[in-house]
Amino acid sequence: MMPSFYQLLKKIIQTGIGRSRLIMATGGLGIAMILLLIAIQAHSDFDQLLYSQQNANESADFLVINKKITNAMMGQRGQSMFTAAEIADIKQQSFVEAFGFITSNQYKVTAAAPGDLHFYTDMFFESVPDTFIDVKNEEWKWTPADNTIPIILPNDFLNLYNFGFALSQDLPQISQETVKAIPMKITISQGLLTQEFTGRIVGFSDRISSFLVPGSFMEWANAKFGNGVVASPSRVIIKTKDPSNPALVKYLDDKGYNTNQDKIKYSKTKLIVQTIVSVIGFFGLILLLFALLVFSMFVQLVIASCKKKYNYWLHWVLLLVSYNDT
Amino acid sequence: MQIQLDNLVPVPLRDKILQRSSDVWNRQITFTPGNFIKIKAPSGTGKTTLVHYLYHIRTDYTGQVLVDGQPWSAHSKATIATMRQERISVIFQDLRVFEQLTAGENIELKRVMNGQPYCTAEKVAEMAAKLNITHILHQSGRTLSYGERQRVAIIRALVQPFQWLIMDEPFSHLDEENAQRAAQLIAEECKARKAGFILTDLDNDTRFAYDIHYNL
Repeated sequence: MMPSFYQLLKKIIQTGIGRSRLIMATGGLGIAMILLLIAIQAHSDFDQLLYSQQNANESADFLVINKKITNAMMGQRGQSMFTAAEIADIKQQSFVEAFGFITSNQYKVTAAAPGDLHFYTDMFFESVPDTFIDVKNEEWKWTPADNTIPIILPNDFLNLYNFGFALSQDLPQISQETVKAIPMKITISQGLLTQEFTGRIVGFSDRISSFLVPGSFMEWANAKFGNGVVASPSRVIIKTKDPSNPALVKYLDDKGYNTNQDKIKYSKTKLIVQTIVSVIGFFGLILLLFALLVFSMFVQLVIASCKKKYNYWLHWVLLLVSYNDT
Repeated sequence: MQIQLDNLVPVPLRDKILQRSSDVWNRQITFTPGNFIKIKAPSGTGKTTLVHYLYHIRTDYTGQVLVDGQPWSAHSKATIATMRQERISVIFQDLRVFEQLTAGENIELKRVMNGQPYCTAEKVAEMAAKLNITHILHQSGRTLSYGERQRVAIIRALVQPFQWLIMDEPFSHLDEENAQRAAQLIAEECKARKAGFILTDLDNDTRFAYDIHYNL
């Protein structure tokens, strides 16, 4: 049985020259495509893993950054503060979406529990811009006319008391509601100048580990009771889309800054995965290029070999075929 | 189908041709349908070039090749393709047998090309038997001798309908006996179709009853 016309034509065109090369090129192209697809798949998988769990509710994360306290720095307060140049540098980093100072008090603060509770302590206040606070509360405002200061406590602080201190000292555990209901007697002073306020806890923050008061109060009190010198901040807070961004972690490491390590724990994994993915992708791309090169050479070879020997004849055959139906 | 040459001169051979006289180049010639025409041509006078002009696969000439009163260039590609399928056949000097195909497949390719084969497979077998190449039909084109290739090329040219058969030294690789057999087959096939042929060769011969002789 004779093969059909098109089978014969195919036999002419597939000259057999470079068949092994064609197979190799096809194989190479296949491997290249697989590598590229694996790279894309791994990349998207990892992204999904990272962002779907961690940032399910928030589109951004907040990091409080401070300088690492080393033995050499102890006793020198100035060394833990951020200079203007350092602050400017942090602000201009691409991963910083928003930036705020944490302002400390420049006066003495004492707190006492009302009535017969016999609780008295020295303490401190800090303030951050309101946009960085995770507690939304209508009471969170202060004007010089108010005698009551709203205060936000760190959640960890209450936990430390309830589950560490209270249990071991046989003291009562206190609920958030109770804490909020207790009016604290806050005394702020500088030398002989003293003023009393009522402090009221309005919320508990998971984000910032500090005793927070409204910025307006801090400004007023620092002006009235402070030494007049604007102190540099020793802690700053930034808002960032991706706390596991390797660039951010590297920046912090390079500068010797500290932050909540738990939030940046994915960074190393991400760096490794990114490296692997880019290496795979790179080789895939190189392989793809070579495969395409071999393919184009193969096609050229076929055309050249046909052209050389069978130009008219093949041309004529094709001419006859293409007008066969007309 | 009438073929006319109108002051045809190949551009590459122009100077050489204009220095001497020729019966074909730079003349008005009409090939009468059904005629057996012999064109005798020494080497280098443009024999193969003329065949390529007649089959319209080269156009580097001045003057015209008129087919049915129209120059080749005036016919559409479709018309030219149809002419090559049904009215004009060719045996190239360089034979152009596909080495990737067997001898039989080379003939088959041409036979089934038109969709409606003009020749039956039996007819092909019969022609192969007449030219003593039945035994090589399953052999690869690569391993064929020139004599065998030439006979494959002759049969290949004869499996289609035609009014003109153009042959370029069709017996150059054949011994006298095989050349005679081939000539006889060609003559039969031409007569069966009431077709003419144009044959170019180096020397005089008496294999056909030529109607006209030209010197190129």
